[in-house]
Amino acid sequence: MEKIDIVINGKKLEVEKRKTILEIAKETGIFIPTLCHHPSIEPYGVCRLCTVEIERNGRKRFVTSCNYPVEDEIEIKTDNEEVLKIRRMILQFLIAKVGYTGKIKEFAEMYKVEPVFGIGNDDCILCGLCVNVCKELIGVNAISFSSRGINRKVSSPFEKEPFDCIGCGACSFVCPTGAIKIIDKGNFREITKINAKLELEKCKICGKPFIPKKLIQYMKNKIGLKEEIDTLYLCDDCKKNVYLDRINLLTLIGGKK
Amino acid sequence: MKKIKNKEELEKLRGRLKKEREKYEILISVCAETGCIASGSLNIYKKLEKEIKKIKNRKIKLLKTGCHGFSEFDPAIVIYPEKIFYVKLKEEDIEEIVEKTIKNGEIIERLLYKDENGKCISYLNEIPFYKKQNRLVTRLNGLIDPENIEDYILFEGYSALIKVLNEIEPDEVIEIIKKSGLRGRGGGGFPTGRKWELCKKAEGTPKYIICNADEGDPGAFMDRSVIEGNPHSVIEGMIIGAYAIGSNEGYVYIRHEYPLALERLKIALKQAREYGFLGENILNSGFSFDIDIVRGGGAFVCGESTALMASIEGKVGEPRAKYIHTVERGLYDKPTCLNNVETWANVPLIINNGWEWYSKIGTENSKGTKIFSLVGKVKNTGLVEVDMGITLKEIIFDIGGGIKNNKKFKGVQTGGPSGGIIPEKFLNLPVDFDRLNEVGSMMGSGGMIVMDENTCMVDVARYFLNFLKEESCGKCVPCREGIYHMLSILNRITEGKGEIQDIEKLKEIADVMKKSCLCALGTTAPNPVLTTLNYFEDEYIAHIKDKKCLSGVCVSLVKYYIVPEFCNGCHACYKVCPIGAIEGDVKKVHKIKQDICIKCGSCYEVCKFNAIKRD
Repeated sequence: MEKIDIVINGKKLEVEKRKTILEIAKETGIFIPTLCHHPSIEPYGVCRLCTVEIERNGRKRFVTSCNYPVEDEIEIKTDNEEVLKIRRMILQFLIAKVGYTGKIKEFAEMYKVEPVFGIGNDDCILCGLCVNVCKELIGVNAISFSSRGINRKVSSPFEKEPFDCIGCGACSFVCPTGAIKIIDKGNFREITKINAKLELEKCKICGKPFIPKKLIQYMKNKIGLKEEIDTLYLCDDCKKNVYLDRINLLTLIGGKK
Repeated sequence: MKKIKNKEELEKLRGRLKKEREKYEILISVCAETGCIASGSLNIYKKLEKEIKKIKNRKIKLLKTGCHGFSEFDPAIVIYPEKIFYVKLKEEDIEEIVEKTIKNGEIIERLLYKDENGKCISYLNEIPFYKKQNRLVTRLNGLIDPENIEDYILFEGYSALIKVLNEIEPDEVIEIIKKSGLRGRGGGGFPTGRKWELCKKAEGTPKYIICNADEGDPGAFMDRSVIEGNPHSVIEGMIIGAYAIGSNEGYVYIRHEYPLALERLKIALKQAREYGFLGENILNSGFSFDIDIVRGGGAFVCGESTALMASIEGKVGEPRAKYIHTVERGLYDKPTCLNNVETWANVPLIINNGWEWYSKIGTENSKGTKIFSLVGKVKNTGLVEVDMGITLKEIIFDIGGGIKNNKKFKGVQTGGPSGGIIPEKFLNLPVDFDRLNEVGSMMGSGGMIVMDENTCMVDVARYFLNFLKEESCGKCVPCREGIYHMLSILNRITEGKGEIQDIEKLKEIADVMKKSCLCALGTTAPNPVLTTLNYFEDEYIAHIKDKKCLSGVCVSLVKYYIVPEFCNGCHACYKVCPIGAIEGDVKKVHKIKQDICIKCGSCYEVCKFNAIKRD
């Protein structure tokens, strides 16, 4: 890997080319706040909270550290006054949208941010993690953004039930504000905000509905499974019991020998 | 048509076309661009066609051409060889034109353009609107039928391509463009030759060529006019670019709202293929290149290069970070060279006339000409092509003829909705990329909106922010939320609810947006606010402190009332009021019912006795 020289907060470093500023900061123990960043997902660069100042060839610029690949002889300042000014205002914008939710509260305290534009009660900061996890990691692309500007929102196609959704719940798992909730009720799983409602498979043993039918189908397709495996249709508890029984059986057989 | 294979064949064809055209004694060109068609030029064309058929003894050619540029006076025709210019025509005028001018060479004064002093001007080149212009890119608008490739060939068309393919190595082409000093006409002003060079050097194949024809600025129609008037110049430029960079695939991303440009472009591409300028083995050179059209979906932000590329790929049209440039990783993550319509159209000119010629036009760092769409409160609205470095004053007052209704000039906005508003004190500013940036505005793609004394600058800033609020994609926080909050503040100010701290707040938001937005839409969005704050701060203060809009635009701050001493009861205001807010009998003093008055100002405009006051 090609190495290059950089300066970060006055400290000279030799680092790998093509790494992002955020990655290097993390390795060096420098804290940069992020909201839309997730290590398993391609940097999206929209919350702009990770903005830092860089200087190269005498030219100063502000860039987002999550997706800026370091270059030779670049000087990075991760928290000078101008950077903090940007972060404070972004937090003010977000507080005006969703109030003191999750990490925003933490950062607001850290940077001593006062709510200049009011305190909002929306739940989504449009970080895009749900959309991107569905696209990149799950490979389903069931949801996206709709509308423009201030009306932008996470949405299923035409705000109808998202026909591609497999009900895996990854969107809910990565959501930093808890805006997407999974509710398993009766024979159905509902995922709020994206209008998903999926029929659950019943456990073959205890009869408890436990996993979306579409998710089982998706997993089978994904791993190229042609035959049926009975344990796919068992809830966690029953699966545990079945496996325990099998292990017991094995030890019994072994004992006889 | 058999495909053209070499220079000789093209020259032979051109010779034949020249002879054909020389047969005609008279050539009449009818402006048939979207704007001209809207004003009825197609009916003029049809009528002329009918009337001309009746003339048997003279050979007359009738041409449906691109825009002459003088939009204010559409529909217009030019009669060659004298270049007699008739304006604002009606169908009824045609018979007279044919009878008098065509048959007898007589000039009809009534139909001529009249200058400020009422003097009739007969010939196109004598009209002040054209005098200070240097029409290079638009030189053939008005001389060729954009739907006929042979017209373009007649005027040097595709000669640059042949020259390049036969005589110039790709690297040399790039060198020529670099030396010419051509900079991107889409707004950024990036040196075109350098962009080509970077794209050529970038690793990865295939490489793509894109023409950005997603012209979305309100009031801008330069690119539309170039495509509608001379589509082949853009195509030729793209083929030359492709040859230089080593690309075999190109796209024109054209705005959804430009159906006529789209139609003409489709025809032009088809004809270029038929004649062998596009497709496999172009002119027997072994080089292949073709162009596809992609139609936009109506989003302003898709004019931004990365959003445009996402849109071509079939994804949501949103910008992405450009830390790795599109010349390296653009369309489908491959090296991509994107230039604007006007930039491409400049390329054949440079090849044909040499970089030395081109680099003599314009200023030190901005070479060549620039097309502007001159609109707003100016007398001669239209399409203007001028040398870089001409002053704003020359454009607005000499070419544009000054402000309508002899009102006072107040400001001019250059560069589209996120350009800045330039006040009177900078009227002598030479127009080029750098000088416009210095005063807080930008070249943009070339929109130029002139504003008169009746314009409220706070309202102007509010108007543009409102446009941008609708058009921001909403992807990044500072743009989405910043525009929204700035607009909320401006709305408050125009409603008389502003506070003095709001000015500081606006400046702070603007500063953060400029530094931290994802794409140029966001980083330039504060420009209208910042420039108006900078040059017209007193208007903001008047709105906030005195609760007054001195231009009478912000309805919440305006009150109309009748001064009884001056009112003679002429009843004119009563008749014009759209909601019946004025009471009073004829010859008696009238009164405005304040509770229902919508403050449209109609009464104020119509009163001849200065009896209606605005406060």
